[in-house]
Amino acid sequence: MKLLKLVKWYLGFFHVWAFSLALFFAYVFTYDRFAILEVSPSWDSLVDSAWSLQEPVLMAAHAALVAAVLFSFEEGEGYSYLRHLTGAGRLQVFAAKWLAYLLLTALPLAAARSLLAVSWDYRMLARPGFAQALAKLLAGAALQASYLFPFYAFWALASKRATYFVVGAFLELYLLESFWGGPLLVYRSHLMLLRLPFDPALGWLVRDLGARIAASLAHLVAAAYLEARGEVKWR
Amino acid sequence: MEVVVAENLSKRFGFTWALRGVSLKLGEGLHLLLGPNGSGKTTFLKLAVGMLKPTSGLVRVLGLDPWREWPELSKRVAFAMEGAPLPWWMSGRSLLVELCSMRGSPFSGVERLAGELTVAGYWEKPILTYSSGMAKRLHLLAALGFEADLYALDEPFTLVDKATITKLVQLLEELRSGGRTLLVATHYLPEGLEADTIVRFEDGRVVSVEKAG
Repeated sequence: MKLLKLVKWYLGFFHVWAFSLALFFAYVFTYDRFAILEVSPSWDSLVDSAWSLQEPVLMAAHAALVAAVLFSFEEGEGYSYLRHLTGAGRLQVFAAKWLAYLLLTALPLAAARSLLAVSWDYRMLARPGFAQALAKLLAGAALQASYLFPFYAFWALASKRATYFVVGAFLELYLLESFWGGPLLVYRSHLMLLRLPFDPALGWLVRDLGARIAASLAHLVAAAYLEARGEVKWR
Repeated sequence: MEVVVAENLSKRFGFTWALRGVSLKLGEGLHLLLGPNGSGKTTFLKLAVGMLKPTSGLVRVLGLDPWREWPELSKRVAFAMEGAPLPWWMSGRSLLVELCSMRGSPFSGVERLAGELTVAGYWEKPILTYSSGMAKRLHLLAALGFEADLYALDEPFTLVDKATITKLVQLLEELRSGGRTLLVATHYLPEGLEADTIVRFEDGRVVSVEKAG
């Protein structure tokens, strides 16, 4: 129960709302609305055609911004003070931030794609495949966000200052497909989890990105450790 | 009964020792931590409410380790720290509602005190619009409005007007009479405030402990 209240608390942070709303519009503006014509007019279009080359980078940038607010900014500015007053446990807080992050990063993308399809033909809402396609899309986006989460959470916690972290994360995003860049091959994982058919994607992801998934898990452990040992301080 | 026990408690920030080998035993009542800026009194308070981890030594509050057992201890401790930010995008009232909900405390205590501290007159407005004195009173309300066995207050008498100081002194006295323990770090001693203990800090050390009577 307290976990859900904490998730609500983090979802209420103005900055994460503002970034998520901005990213929703950014997705919408980068999609090719007319690409939807090229596929069958079904709700699969949500998953396949409403897509842009910029989407993986936008999603990674969004994930970096949300992680910056939840992990660097909250600590650095001292908003963790009030959370501490509530008596929340440190690992419970980490779990709440993770859940808030997943919701915030997956929903704008799914909402933007849905808007595109519905604006093309509102009758799509009544089609039987609607809920299923949307659920697939949300699950795919949540998986991709989960893959990115440990890297961003760890570096945001380690860099302490949100500005330093964001600059670093955006520089890294620019180095696409480098060993360190992507972050960490964001295009490939994004394509596998969101664009290509969902079911076999996990298998491919594990085969192709096995080493990076292991790195992701190592970052997750390190981030949880950093969060658990963190003290409540502010500038 | 000893409420706060510190044994050889030290805290270091980088190369600076903020607290050096403090040993202290405080029972129920009102305890003032006095000392100039940078003397270590706020660091001591933060260690007592689990915000900081001791570098060495130990601190026990109500028999619990504040750092390790904070979720349990937090049900019995309320605090207000100097200079902590408030979420400017919320109204004071909605912030307190959220805090009560997360702490599992009734809102009635906060509501009653909001009138006494004259916060109720402005708490519907966004925190962004508050003056530093208004924000300070909201901070104090976020601590004193909760039911607790120990209240830790950092510089409660700064930034507020004379009427609020008088009200605060009265409130602290009421809490003390009700069997609560109060740890108050301050470098200003208001008129009429009677403490059970005065602990003087200097350069990260306790230099004297004076008991009343």
